[in-house]
Amino acid sequence: MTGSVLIEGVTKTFWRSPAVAGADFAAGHGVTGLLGPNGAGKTTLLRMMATVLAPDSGRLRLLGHDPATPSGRLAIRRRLGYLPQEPGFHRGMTVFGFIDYVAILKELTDRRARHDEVRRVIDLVGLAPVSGKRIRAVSGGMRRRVGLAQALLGDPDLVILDEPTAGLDPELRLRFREIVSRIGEGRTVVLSTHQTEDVAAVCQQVVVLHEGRSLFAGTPAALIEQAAGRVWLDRTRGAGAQLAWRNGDGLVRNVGDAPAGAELMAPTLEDAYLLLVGDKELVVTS
Amino acid sequence: MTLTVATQAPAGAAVGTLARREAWRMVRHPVYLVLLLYFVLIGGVEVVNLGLPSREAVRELGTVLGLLWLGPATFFAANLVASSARRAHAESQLAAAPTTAQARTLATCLGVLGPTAAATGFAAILWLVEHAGDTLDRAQGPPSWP
Repeated sequence: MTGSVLIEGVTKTFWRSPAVAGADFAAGHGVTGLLGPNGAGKTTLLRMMATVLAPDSGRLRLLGHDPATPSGRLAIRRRLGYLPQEPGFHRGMTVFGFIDYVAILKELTDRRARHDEVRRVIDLVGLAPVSGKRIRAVSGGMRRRVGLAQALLGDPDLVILDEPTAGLDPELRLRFREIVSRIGEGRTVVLSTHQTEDVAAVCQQVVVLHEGRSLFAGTPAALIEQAAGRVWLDRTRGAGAQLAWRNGDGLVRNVGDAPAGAELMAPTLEDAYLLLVGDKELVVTS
Repeated sequence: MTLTVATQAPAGAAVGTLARREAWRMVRHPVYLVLLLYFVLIGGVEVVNLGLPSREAVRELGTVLGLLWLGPATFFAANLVASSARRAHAESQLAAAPTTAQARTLATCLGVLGPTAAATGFAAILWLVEHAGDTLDRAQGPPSWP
């Protein structure tokens, strides 16, 4: 791990309500997934990493620079790509025009080189057929790709993607995973999601956030390992189950402290995540 | 994966390019173009009423287009262009770019010079037309009574 991202004891409070209450993790080359329920502080943490928001306390070091200083912020922003959770677009602009506009903001001033770069990212996310269309005329999935394309301008060393697959259909999600996996080769990608499938599919490292704190940071395999021996199938909800739900085949999948002689199952990332976050409100079947 | 990476300009260099882009956005803004069409129509009616090629018609056209169109059209277009990022909820996305909000504001202010330059050029043409009319009048001498 080269430590492109170092976060130590970072906090952020909005109106006395802590959004991030002491997050710690480090991320190097590859894809790191921030996993957590709604309101866990993922977006706030990513906004701080994108230098859009300043932390109240703690230490943040990105690409070897301190975002608290203007020179550090500028150095980071020059090597940063950011896709917010709800990217905004000038809808009257064409796809090409909007990405070109962001490219100017990213200081790509030479017209020919800039247009080459815009065409490159448009090809990378598969938007070439609609590059001349106005943004208001393209679908939500296409707009998501426009957001990703602008984040990839200038071949950034650090790419921050806030819920890039939210609201996408399964086919588009797979396509996004492929793109994210590709851009994660040789650079640092940090993405947030509350979908464990995304993490299992593309992330080399996972950080579980809950109520503003990082509960786990490590590989997905290490997270899954935490649930080993704690998932079993039964006809009813087990007494030691923290969570239980009926499968499509009619059996109840229990996650928790397995009784002796239980039919143990191989845990998934979802099982481990649920055990860690401990949502006891999940519907129990009997 | 082979990537072609565009070179980044030194700090602040994007302001000039951005100002040209903002000027282009303003003069292509629907408000600007609709108001242009409106005042061209008004000016056209005035010109027809006064009869060409009278000096009053040229002056009327210059006043309508130069004063009535340039001011409101540029004002509305510049405001809408400047506030478009906020209205599109793109502020947080653009805030992560190396060009700061202050630099973007400066670029928008400079961009206003674009439509102003266009209108100034138009006014200069009208002035030349009117001046040419004066010269023609002097060459023809004072009007004689029928």
